[in-house]
Amino acid sequence: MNPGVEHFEDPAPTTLPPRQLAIGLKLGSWMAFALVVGLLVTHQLLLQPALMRLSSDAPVINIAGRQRMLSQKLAKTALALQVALDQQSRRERRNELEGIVNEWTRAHRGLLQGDFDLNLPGNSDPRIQNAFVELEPHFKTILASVQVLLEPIGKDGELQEIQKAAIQQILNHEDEFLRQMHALVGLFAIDARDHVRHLQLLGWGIVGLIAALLLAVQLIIIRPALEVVASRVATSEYQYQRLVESMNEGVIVEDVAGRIRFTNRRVCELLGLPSSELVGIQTLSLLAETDHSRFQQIRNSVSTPVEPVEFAFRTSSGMIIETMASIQPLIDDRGQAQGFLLVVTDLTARKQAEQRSRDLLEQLVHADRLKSLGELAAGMAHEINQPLAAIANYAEACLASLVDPAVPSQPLIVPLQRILAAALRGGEIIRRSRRFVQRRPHEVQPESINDLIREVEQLCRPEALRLDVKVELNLASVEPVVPVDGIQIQQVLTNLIQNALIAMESTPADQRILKVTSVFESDQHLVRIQVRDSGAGFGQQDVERLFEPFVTTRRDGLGLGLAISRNIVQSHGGTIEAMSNADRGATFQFTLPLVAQLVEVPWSSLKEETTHA
Amino acid sequence: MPEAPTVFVVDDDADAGDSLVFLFTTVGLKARVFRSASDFLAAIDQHQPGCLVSDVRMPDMNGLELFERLTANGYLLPVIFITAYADVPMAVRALKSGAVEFVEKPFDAQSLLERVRHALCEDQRRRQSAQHWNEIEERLASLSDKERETLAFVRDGAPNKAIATKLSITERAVEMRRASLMKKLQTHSLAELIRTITEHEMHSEHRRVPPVENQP
Repeated sequence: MNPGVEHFEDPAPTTLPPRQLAIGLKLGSWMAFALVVGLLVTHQLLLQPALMRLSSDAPVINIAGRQRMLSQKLAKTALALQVALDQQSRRERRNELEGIVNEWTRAHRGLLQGDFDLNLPGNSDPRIQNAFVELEPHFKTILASVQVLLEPIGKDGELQEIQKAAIQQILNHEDEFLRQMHALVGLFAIDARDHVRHLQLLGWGIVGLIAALLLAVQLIIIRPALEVVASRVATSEYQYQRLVESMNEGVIVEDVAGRIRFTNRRVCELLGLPSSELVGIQTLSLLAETDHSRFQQIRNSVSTPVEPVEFAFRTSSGMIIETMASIQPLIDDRGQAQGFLLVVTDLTARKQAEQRSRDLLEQLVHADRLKSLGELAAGMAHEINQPLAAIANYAEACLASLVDPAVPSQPLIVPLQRILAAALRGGEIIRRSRRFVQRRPHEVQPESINDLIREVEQLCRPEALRLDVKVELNLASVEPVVPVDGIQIQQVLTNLIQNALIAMESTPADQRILKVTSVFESDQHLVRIQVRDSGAGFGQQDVERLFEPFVTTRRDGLGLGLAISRNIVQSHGGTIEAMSNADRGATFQFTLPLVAQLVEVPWSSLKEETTHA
Repeated sequence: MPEAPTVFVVDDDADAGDSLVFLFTTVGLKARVFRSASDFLAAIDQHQPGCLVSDVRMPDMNGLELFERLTANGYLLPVIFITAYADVPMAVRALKSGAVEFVEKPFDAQSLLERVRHALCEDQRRRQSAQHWNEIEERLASLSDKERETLAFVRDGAPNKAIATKLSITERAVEMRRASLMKKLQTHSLAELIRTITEHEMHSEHRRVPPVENQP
C-alpha cells in the first residue's frame, strides 16, 4: 500500500499523550497570539511619537520662513513710519508695526522654546540652538529698536532723533537677521528630513523585529504544532485505511451518480478486478442481472441506513457471488447527498456450508432409509415370494393342462389372469420399497396420514410376521390430511415400528403386540401418531437421551434412527417424545401440525456430539 | 367307502393359497383352501381323508400351533409345511412333532405335487391300517373274560393241559374256549392267532395305547 506511511506504524514512544499534547498546542497558540499582539502595541508605541513630531515639522518650517517675511515687513513699516506725513498715517504705521513685532517675537520664542497654540514643539538641536544664539543679538537689537519706535512720539508728532536712529538700527540689522534666519529655515528643513529618516529607520527596525518574532513563533510553536497535527491526521488516516483494507467485508463508496469512487481490497478480491478498473464504473454493472432493478429500487428509496439485503455480484470470470450488502447514503455537513456507502459481506462460504450441511443431512436421512429397508429385506423377500410362488403354481397348472395327457385340458384365461395379477403385485412390492429408498428432493404435499401408516404397515408386516408380532392399526376415523414430505414421515414410522419390533424380541410370543394409532386433535390443529409396543420398555434409561445421535440400545444399531426421526418431525414443525407404558413396553409419539410449518432444523445435536468428542 | 381324499391348503396369502388349489385341482386332486388355521380347524372332521399343505408363518395361529392342535385332537392328516425361511429351529420342531414334509419356498411345483401324492397315499395307508387295528381291537373287545384269560396263556405258549390245571377247569373246557376265541378273532390257526396278537401288542406299544388286557 502506501509506503510513505510506514513510519507511522510504530508511533514514537516519546510522543506526549493526546491530552497533554492538546493542552501544549493550545498554550502555544495563545502564546503566539499574545506575542503578535505585543508586537503590534510596541510598534504603535514606538511609531506614534515619531509621527507626532513629523506632523509639527511643517508648521516649524512655515513659521521659520514667515519670520524672514516678518523681519522684512518690520523694516518696510519702520521706513514707512519715518516717511509718514501726517499724524494719522504715523499712528497707523505704529499700530501696524506693533502687530508685526508681536507676531514676530512670539514666533521667535516659539521656534526655540515651543508654543502650543502655534503648534511649535521647540527645538533642542544644538545646531539650531547655536544658530539662535548667533541670531539673538540681531533679534534683540531689532526688538529694542521697534520698542523705541513704539514709544510715544512728540506733541508735534515728529519723530525724535532717537527714533530715527532706531529705524536706522532696524535697517542695519535686518539684513543680517534675514540671512541668518534663512540659514535657520535650512536647518529646520534638515532637521525635518532627519526626522523622516529616523522614522524610516524606526519603521524598518520594527518590521524587522516583528518578522523575527513571527519567525520565532513559526519555528517554536506553529511548525511543531502543524507537524503534530499532520502526523495525527496521517496516523488516523493510515489506521482508517488499514481498517478498511483489512476488513473482511467489501467496502464500496459511490458518488451520487452511482459511480464507484473507492473500493477496498476485499471488493477487488471478491470480484477479481483491480481497484483501478473498478473506480469510475457503475456499481450496478457489477451486480447479477436479476438483481439490477431491486438494487436501484433500494438505492433510490434509501434515505436512512436500511437492513442489509442479499445481492448477487458477478465476478470478472462470470461467477455469481451471493452477498449481504448494506447500503447507506453519505451526507456531508450541509446535508447534501454525496453518494452511497456499500458494505458487502460474502455469503458464499456460509451458503456453501449451509448447502453442505443440508446435503449431509439428506444423505444421512437417505442412509437411514436404506438401513431400514435392509432390516426389512428378509420380510420383503417373503412378501415377494408369495406372488412368485403363485405364478409358479399357476404356470405349472397351465403346463400340466397343456402337456399332460392325463390332465383334462381347460380354459387358461383364469390362471393367466391370476399370473398377471400376481406379477403386478410383486412389482408393486418392489416399487414400494424402491420409492421408500429413492433419493429425491424434499417434497411437501398434502398426504393422508392414515394412508402413510397403512403403507408402512404393509412394508413392515412381513417382518412383524417373522417376529411373531401382532400389528394393530387404530386409525383416526376422520382422515387427517397434512402437508408433509410423505416419504420422510414414513421413514419416521418405519424407524419407530422397527424399534418396537426389536424391543419385543424377549416378550412371550403371544404378548407381542404393536399398536399404531393416529388421532386427529382438531382443537390443537395437529395429528398425533403413536407407536406402542409391549417390549422391554426403557427401564432406568434416560428417555430424553434416546433421541440423541449415537445413543442406542441395539447391538447392531448406529443410534441415528431416532435422531433422524426427531429432525424430520421437528422440520415439519412437530414434536416427538417417548414414554414408558404403565403395563409393559414403550410408546413413541409424534405430532404434525395441520398447517405446514416447515422449519430448517440444523443437525445441531450431531454437531455438538462431534465437537464434544 | 369314505369320500375322496382332499388336499387342505391353509395360507393367509390369497394368491399363494388359491394358486395351490388351482394346481391341485388341475391335476385332478380335490383341494380346499383356508385363510387361517382356525378356519381350517373349524371346518374339518377327523374322518376326512387327505393331507394338509400349510404355510408356517401366519398371523393369529401359525402352522406349528395348528399341527400341535391337530395332534392333540388325534387327527391323522399328514402335513406338508411350506416356509419362506430357512428357519432351522422351526424345522426341527416341525420334524420332531412328526410333520411328514417340509418344503422351502420357492419350491418346484412338481416336487410339491409328488409330496402331496405321497402324503395322500400315506394317509390312505394309515387310515387302512388304523381300520385294520380297529377291527382287531373290536374283535378283542368281543372276547369274554374267560376267553381273554385263556388267550393270555395261549399266547405264552402254554399247552391245554397246563391251562386247564392253572384255571382249574377241564381240558375240554379249555379247548372249547380256544375254539370260540379263534372264531371271534377270525383266525384259523394257532400260528395266525399268535401273530395277530403279537402284532397288535407291538402296534399298541408303538401308539402307547393301554394294553389290551387292561381294557374293560
